[in-house]
Amino acid sequence: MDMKEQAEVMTPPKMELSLTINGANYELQVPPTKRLVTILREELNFTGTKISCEVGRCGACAVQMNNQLVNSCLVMAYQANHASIITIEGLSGEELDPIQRVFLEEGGFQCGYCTPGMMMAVHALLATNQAPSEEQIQEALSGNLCRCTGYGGIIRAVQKAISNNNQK
Amino acid sequence: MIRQGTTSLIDTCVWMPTSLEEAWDLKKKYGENAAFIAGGTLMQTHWAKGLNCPSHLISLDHMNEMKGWGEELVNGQTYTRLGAGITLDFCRQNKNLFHPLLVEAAKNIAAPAVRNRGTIGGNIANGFGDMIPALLAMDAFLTLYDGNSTHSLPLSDYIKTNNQSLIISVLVPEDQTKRFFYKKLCHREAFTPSVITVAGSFNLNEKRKLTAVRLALSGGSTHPQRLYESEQLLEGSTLTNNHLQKVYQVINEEFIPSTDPFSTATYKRLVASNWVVSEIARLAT
Repeated sequence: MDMKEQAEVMTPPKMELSLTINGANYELQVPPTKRLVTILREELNFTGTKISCEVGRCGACAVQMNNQLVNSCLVMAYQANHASIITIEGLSGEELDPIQRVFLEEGGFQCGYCTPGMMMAVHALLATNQAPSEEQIQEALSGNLCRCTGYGGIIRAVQKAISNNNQK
Repeated sequence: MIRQGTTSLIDTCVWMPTSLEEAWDLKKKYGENAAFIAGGTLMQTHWAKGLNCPSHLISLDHMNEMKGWGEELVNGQTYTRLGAGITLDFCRQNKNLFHPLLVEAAKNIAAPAVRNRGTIGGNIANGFGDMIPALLAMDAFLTLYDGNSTHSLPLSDYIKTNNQSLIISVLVPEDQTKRFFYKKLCHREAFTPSVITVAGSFNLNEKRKLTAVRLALSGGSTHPQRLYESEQLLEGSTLTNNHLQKVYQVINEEFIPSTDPFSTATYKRLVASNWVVSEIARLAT
């Protein structure tokens, strides 16, 4: 039997990719190794997800895939097939997400380039741990680099989000 | 925008086999032009640096044998079996399921977004993963598929050869009585490649003698090594300052790290010797 009859193969140049992004379904044809960050930005215009180091070191491209934080530069199309993706655009509804609001209030950003990825990381943290310690906050953000703030404002923002949650 | 290396991905074909046999046959068919891939977090960084991506990727995502975890009894010893496809974050989060040394190692690898994708099998197969010293210190075995059969091999033997077998699972002895340590030296505090990683374990008997000593080291550019001579020197010994000094010297001679653009082998030997001796002294008192 020919090998291609045995295993499913995603032959270049294109595969059928099915994605749910921020609750909406998308079907598109892309090379199986095309990176999720490129698909989001260039094919679907979700430019809130930023592209920077492209090797999973900076976290600017962080999104949630099936409720887990991932670097979209390290996810290939075939790995995201049938997945549910949340990008920064999916955090807020008609109003800002509480995490976005505390970043504004506490000066959790300056140039703002790392901010979408940073917020996705905070969102992933608070979804699983509503009262993280400072050490746990630092650990959760260890894959997100900020070259402006020195992290003080970011940590304050996360602590305020926790405090706001506790007061509800 | 510079996207070095990623253009080589355009023509890559991705295979999604559902059995070990199928995966192996694909690798055999395409040889050097093919690579097995799971999370692919490390492989993609290599391609981004300019290393050519193989023209065929054989995804291990559909291998049921590589999923899940459980207990296994082998020759009267109970092991925790971790499927090679288990993510590093799953290891980190499940303190109640896994050996604390395994959890500690997982905690010290990369950052959450990478740990959510990177697998324990990939960490071992890449040859320099920071999970390796911890697993060596725990006397872990690997279950491998070589195209003909499935068999077990001590990780300490696996690292000595350029073994191309497919890693199916990792077997970790369920011995939580040993004292252990795990330390990683990096250029910054979090999410950075290891300069050196040190792991060790031992029992302390009622006469305060060390037994079942295991010492293992590796680094971002240093192959994983067991320090057999140093282990032998500690085995059955009662710690004294003189003995620790001797152990320090032997580690310094036995450990063979690489020199890289940031750290010399001499520096790495110094750190390794200091860490191992101080950790053993701390845990044995």
